[in-house]
Amino acid sequence: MTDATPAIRCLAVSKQYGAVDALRDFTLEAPTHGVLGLLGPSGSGKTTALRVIAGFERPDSGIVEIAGRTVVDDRLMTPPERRRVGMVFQHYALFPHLDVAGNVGYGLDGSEDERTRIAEVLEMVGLSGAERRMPHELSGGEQQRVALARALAPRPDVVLLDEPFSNLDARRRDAVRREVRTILVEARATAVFVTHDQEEALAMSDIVAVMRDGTVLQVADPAELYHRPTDCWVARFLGEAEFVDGTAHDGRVETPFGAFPIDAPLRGDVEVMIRPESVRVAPADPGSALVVDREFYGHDQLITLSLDDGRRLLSRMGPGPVLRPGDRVDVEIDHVVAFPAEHGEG
Amino acid sequence: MTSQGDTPVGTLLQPPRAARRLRRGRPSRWLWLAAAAILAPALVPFGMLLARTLANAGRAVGIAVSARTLELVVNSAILVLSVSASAAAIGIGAAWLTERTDIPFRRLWRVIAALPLVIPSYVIALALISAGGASGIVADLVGLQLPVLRGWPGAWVALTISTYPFVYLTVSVTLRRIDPSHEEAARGLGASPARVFRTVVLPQLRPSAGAGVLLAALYTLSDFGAVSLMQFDVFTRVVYAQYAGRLDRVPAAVLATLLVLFAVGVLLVEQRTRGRAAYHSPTPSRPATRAAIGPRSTTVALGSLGFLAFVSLVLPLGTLVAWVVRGSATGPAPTIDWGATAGSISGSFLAALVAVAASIPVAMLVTRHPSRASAWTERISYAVFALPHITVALGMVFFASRFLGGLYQSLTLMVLVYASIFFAQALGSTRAALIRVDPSLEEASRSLGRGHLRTLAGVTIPLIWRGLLAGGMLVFLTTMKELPATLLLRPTGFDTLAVRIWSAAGDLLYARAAAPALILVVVSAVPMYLLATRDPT
Repeated sequence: MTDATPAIRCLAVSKQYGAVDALRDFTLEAPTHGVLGLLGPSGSGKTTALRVIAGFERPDSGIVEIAGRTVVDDRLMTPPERRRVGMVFQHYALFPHLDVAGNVGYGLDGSEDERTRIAEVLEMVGLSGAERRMPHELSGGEQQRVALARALAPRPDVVLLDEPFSNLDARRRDAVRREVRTILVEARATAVFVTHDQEEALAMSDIVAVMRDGTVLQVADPAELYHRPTDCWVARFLGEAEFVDGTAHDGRVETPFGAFPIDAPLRGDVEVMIRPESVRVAPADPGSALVVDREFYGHDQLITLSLDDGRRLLSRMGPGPVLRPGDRVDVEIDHVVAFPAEHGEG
Repeated sequence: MTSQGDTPVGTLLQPPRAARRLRRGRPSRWLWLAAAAILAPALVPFGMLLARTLANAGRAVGIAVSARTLELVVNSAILVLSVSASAAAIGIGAAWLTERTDIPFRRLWRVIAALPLVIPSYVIALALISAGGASGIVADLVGLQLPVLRGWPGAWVALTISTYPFVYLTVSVTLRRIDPSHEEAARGLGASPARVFRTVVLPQLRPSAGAGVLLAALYTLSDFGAVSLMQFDVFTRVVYAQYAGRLDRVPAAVLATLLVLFAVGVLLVEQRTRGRAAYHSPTPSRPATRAAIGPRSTTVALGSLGFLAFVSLVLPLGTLVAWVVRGSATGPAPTIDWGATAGSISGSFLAALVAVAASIPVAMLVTRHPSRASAWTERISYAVFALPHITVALGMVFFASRFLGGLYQSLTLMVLVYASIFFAQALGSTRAALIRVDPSLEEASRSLGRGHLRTLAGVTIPLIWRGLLAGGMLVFLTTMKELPATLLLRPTGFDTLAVRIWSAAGDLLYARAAAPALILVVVSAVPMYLLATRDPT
């Protein structure tokens, strides 16, 4: 396997549960040695996709390849135990009757010096010396790292993580997320993780695939995805945004806030997305807008503006200047994205 | 249905609702093959009975519409109805007293009220018969000559004692789990305690009381030992008499088929009368308050429970002990029958082993791959358990004597029949244990490189072994008490305690019947005690 071979390749995979399409023509390539985030709202089929890759579900049609080996096609269905895929489950699924060493060594089978490898992966996840502890004696974050160590121990071709952080309380989540990412990167593992949390997907992934209704809508690196979503739905799903009508011609778009350059070769009526962080405000009198509300988060603040024509607009900016409801401000917009008008939804 | 699915008794008959889990993949073909292989021996007997009946259709009709058969139907119906009614009244009453009032020694009463489960119906019948009469134990000890119970009254009393614990257990579990806020809401709306019980509590008890009464009714219909000793002619007794007494096997086959239909009828009636309301009772956050009953009511309550304990425990066990003492005074000292004891224990142990092993693939199918087919697999297992054992045994005798010459009257066949009859008990227990195991654990094992069987051995079984053990003990307990299938299928020279008791009592040799009866009660009490005290994890 060279780095050019995708670690996972899914081609036109479909899976139905009764009348529900869990996966429709699901097509995805995950690059080797990277973290791919599979992002979608609940019911979008992301967990089914993961389970198809792991071998727990057989798709109705389509092809799945792992590290260049075909594991699913019309006739073939390689059982999970022969796929060389490590899985980290949402609730970790640590074997409650085995200690940490028993869990981590479960997939090793004496093919190499088991105890050395157990110690090695436990060190990798920062739990050296925890061999004799039982799963119920560990904190949520520690359980997660044991689950990760167990999945990494047999040196799988890919690691799959199903909603890995959803069980942790909000305060611990950011730290654990960073730890897990560091571990995956240091292990030079290929990982695919499923999440419904946009922030998590953007922060954790090298590449994000956005799913909806069983299909992949867009695959891109986080910044690209955030700034250049391919349609309104993806744009909305990834973060707060305001939409206004506009007219496009010759690489420019006319909006009520002025004219802006755009990348897409569009003409005529378009929808224009404005992200709150592209909106900058400065105190001014008389100015062009009124501050209606302010949510202060410490590291930044979110300002709700009412423009003089009645429109609302959100602005995210640093902790200063101090603005209060009732203040008058001037508004300046850095950057917009335009979409063909018929995509408008919601 | 409410929550009695968690109790051993509750799982006997009510297959808990299909798991609401996402369906996990497809079951392997091997799992289906295993399930089919396990269910076949349970179904063959019914096929055999039906075949025998249909092959002699002309005579079958003649037997079915005879006056004698009508008498059996009427007797069976009277017995089932009378026992169901008295078991329901005693079971619900005792449950309410021990769960919802502040009578003294509640914990003790709870244990006592469930204890008759340990005593087989024919031992209670034996005790009732041998206690009364001129030469009875009571006359001997206190000079008071009690009437000898025979026929319907005797069968009714013996079977009520044997079956009210089914109602008692299912109802008391529900009483413990009913959310007290309903009752408080009714009180707050101005209802009197009596009205609250009638309009709020009783309707919520209905599903579990119905399940308990159904168990009591089916047990009564299946019972062979008590009705035989009481000489009351119902189907089971006459089927056995026809089989044992004649070379012509057709009447036995026809009557057994009718008995199966009767039992199916009872099941259908219960289904039809089941209420439509669904009572979801998650474990309530706090227990219901206990009614403080006045001193006079307390006296009445203690008197009733005391009388119940006297009739269902003290009298039977006391009579047995007295017979043993009397026997050793007048004749050779009664000795422990090691042969029959070993026979009972080994037969029951093997049956438990086979039933538990067989329950694993079926429970896997039912919990991990819920589908219409797997739900039917489960339902069939419960139906076999619900139908009278003597019919299963008789069908198997027909089948074995025709097709399995070498196995007829072998220990293997007997254990196989035991295991099929009591399979549902093992299945219920294994299923309940399996449903608590997160399927992700098995999937984790699979993706770590272990196949189906190694996952079963390395993850699943270590996590459910307590459930397996509980199911095994339940099967052991009921097999120990089993009588009709043993009589029909036991290898020549193979004895069990049940057979010893039955033949001695049949010959009116009460002193000789008493010792094995006591041993049986003591040996059965061990798994019962373990089941009752095991921690509920």
